[in-house]
Amino acid sequence: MRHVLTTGLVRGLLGQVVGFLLGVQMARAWGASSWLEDGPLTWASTLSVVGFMLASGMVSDWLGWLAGRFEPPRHAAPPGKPRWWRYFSVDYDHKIIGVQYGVTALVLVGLAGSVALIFRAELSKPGIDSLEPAVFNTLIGWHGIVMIAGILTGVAAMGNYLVPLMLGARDMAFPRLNAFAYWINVPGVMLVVLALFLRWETGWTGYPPLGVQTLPGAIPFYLGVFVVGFSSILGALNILATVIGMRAPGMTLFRMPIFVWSMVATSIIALTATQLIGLSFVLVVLERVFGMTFFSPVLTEAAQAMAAPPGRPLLFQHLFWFYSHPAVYVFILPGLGIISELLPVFARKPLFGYKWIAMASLAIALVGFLVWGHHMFTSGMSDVMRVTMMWTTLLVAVPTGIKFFNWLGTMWGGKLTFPTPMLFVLGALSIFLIGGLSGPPNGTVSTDLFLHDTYWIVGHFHATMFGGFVYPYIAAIYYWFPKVTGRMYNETLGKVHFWLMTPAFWTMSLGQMLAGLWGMRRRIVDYDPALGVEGLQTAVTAAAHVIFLAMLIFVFNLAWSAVRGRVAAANPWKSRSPEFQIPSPVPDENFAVPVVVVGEPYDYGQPQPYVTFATATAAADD
Amino acid sequence: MKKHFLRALGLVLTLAAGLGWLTYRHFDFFVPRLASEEGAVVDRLLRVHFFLIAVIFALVVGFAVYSVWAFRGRADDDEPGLNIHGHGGLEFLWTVIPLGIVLGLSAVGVQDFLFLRRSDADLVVQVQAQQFSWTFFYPEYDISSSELWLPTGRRVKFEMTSLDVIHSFWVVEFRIKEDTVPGMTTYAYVTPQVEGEYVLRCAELCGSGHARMYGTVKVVSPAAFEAWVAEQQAAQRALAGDARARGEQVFQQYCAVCHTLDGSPSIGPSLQGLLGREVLLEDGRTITADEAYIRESILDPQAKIVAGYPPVMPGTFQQALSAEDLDALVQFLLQLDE
Repeated sequence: MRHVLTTGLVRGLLGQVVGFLLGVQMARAWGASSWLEDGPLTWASTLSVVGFMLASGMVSDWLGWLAGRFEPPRHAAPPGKPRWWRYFSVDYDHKIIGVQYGVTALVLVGLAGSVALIFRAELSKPGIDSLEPAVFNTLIGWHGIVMIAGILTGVAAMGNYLVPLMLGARDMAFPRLNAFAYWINVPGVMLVVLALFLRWETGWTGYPPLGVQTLPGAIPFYLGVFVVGFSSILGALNILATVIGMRAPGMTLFRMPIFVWSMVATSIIALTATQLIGLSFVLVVLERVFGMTFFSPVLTEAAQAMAAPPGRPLLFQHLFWFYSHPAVYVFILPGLGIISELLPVFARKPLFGYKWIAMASLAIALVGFLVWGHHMFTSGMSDVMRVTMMWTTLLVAVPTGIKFFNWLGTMWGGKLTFPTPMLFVLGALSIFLIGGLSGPPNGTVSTDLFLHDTYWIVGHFHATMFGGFVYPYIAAIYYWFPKVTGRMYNETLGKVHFWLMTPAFWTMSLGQMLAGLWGMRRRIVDYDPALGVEGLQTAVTAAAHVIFLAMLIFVFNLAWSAVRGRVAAANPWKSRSPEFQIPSPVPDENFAVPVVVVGEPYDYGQPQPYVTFATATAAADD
Repeated sequence: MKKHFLRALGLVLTLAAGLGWLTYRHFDFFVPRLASEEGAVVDRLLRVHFFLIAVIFALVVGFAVYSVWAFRGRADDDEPGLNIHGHGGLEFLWTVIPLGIVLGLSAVGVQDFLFLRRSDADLVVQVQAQQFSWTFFYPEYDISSSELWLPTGRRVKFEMTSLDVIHSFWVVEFRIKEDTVPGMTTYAYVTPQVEGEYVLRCAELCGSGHARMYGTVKVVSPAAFEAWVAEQQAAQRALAGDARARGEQVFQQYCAVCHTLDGSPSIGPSLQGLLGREVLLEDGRTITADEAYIRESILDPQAKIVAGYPPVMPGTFQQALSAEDLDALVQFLLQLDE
């Protein structure tokens, strides 16, 4: 118990509470009547994040440098602390940070999924049964933003754990920055939790003027997302620096594992675009706190005093979607990289079109910056912009298609086996297919005038998210579980997980899409019975419960097997990748003997290996 | 391998035929009834999209399913699969063909969009959206209405704005949707073609009342429309005198979406028997509802919040209600019975 209280997590949370209360007291001293007003809430939220940062230990080393104290990064638990303590505190090992991110992702996805079950119960019948509208609107917004946070942490889990190992590196380029990028998520998410209780009614997209007008929960929502954004930016920077500077000898760019390419493309986006959502959200907070009118056409007293021109609601949407569209490629590019990484292993043949897949990832990242207007086809944006954005949006289908056809080429003529990771890879492929194919009707302006803001869109993005992130993430967890823990997961439970979840997900997806086509809008607590979608909504609710049950089985499997699973071999999948050539669990220093790249990553069945361990003789042969 | 390819192709073609038939020939299953000319343009392209989705889905799933069936290995088998790294010709084909398809779809999409958005119109209706109701003005006839009446066969240009937050104008059967934005005028064009009653539903989350922000739409013959216009013009002249009826109409237009008259709580408290009622506020005070309180509650709703209710009443009524409408509404509320 003593150890729990000294973990970085607990200390940080206490620091956050202290910071918040301090902020409230200061605001009271300055004359605020209630802490629930926007000014005090903003100040208290900001101080709460500072409090977390100071108390958790995530900036301690850097503060020490300012004071002239330099300590080398610790590579073990501090004296007297058990090994598990490292996972709940600030630690610099990329493998520990990867697991921290990975478990956080499962927790966030689990919380957001549980909240979904609450509003799904309300939606299974028409009428307002148990959730008042303000609560419903808050829950759907919370579901959205917490899922996004879960996806971002899941992406960071895969990137941080795997990239150094796949490159043959000892750790990431900047281990302390890595730890900071993980821990900054916690105070940010806690602010979003506060928003759940204070409530806000804009959904996760936070559009003003409603965002300026709505309940006080909007403040911790906007600020929480702003804070979480730093994790993406700094994590991406670290990945790019690591790939540029820390590849093993012989690892040219086109001899990297394909997953690393997908993380490079992802990081380019996360590094450069995240600032836009931070900016747009901060501007709405400034509107609320100081009466500024960037997005509000009605001038406040403050704006009149400043002689400001009237604001424009569409400006927010441009700023917001300039990030939030590329963001979806941050969500799916790593998952598509996982599919590319695992198919060769389970087909025992090379990845078909490796260079094309790598270049397609970069193409998706690039073109993804040019399409944001398709979220604004009904917004009142100019017709010229709508037409331009339609051309660019439909163009993204081409590199995505290239990946799909190369995956088919990878499977063709293979020796396929179907352990659980492969099942989830194939599931991902089929689900991302329907998700992606449901995109062009939205990308064409005329048809989108019908589909926008309906449940068809809800179906589209759930399918792309499940296919592009959830299923590949699950596949990755099963696949690397023996490497991370040294034990094997239970294969039967894994298959049960897959066969429960997949038909349920298809039911949910098709049900949502059809409900939208039949006229059901999104973000509504109550729908008109005359639309005839009640049966579909009941089916979607039932499917959601089955998905939840399947995920519970998954988490049980992981927890049980980590402790009681059969001890795993170092390379259960007979992979050629560097991390499978070293023991399980991975030793602290990763590669006791450095690796050297001597062949192609996916030449399964060929005598030349991909990597060997450097020896004096090998060095002399170079 | 060639045998495998032909078998896989056979599977793909069977799947494509089945799914294609389903989506193309039974398209009407997927969409609600159609009631506008512009909607027909949308549906035509949507049907093409669905057919393409069916065919491409069949193509990818067909090859994948065939591979799963035909290319199984055994767990103890150490034999690798085919050692092929790629095929330049295939890469070219499956880059250029999808590129051609998306360019084609874009070209048709542009054409359709320009047709939908051409600016000629036979009738102009101004739409004012607010939390949580719709008001329609017919400048040509100098009438306003809370119901949207339209004649068949005339292209209507909607000039739209919002008083408070972003809303969105959408009638499912017309297909076309466009947001209403404060500080801006946005446009939609619809030529209704099928007589009947439809529901206008707000399609952009706008607060607590969003789900039920409905409007009634009546599409009638041109003759019936002219008759309705004349009726409205006469009625609006008469209503100028009858304050009580005017007050009830304002209540139904702006208040009924959140407040009931029969005592049952809704998004807001019931207004039955309001005058003289002891009202418990969220800050603990109890006040007696008098005319001043009623006026303040309409014009500055955040000043006093009733205990147990969320503070979500819009502040736009000051702007939306004329002085006469406000007086009529207050008079109406003052005489609601217990």
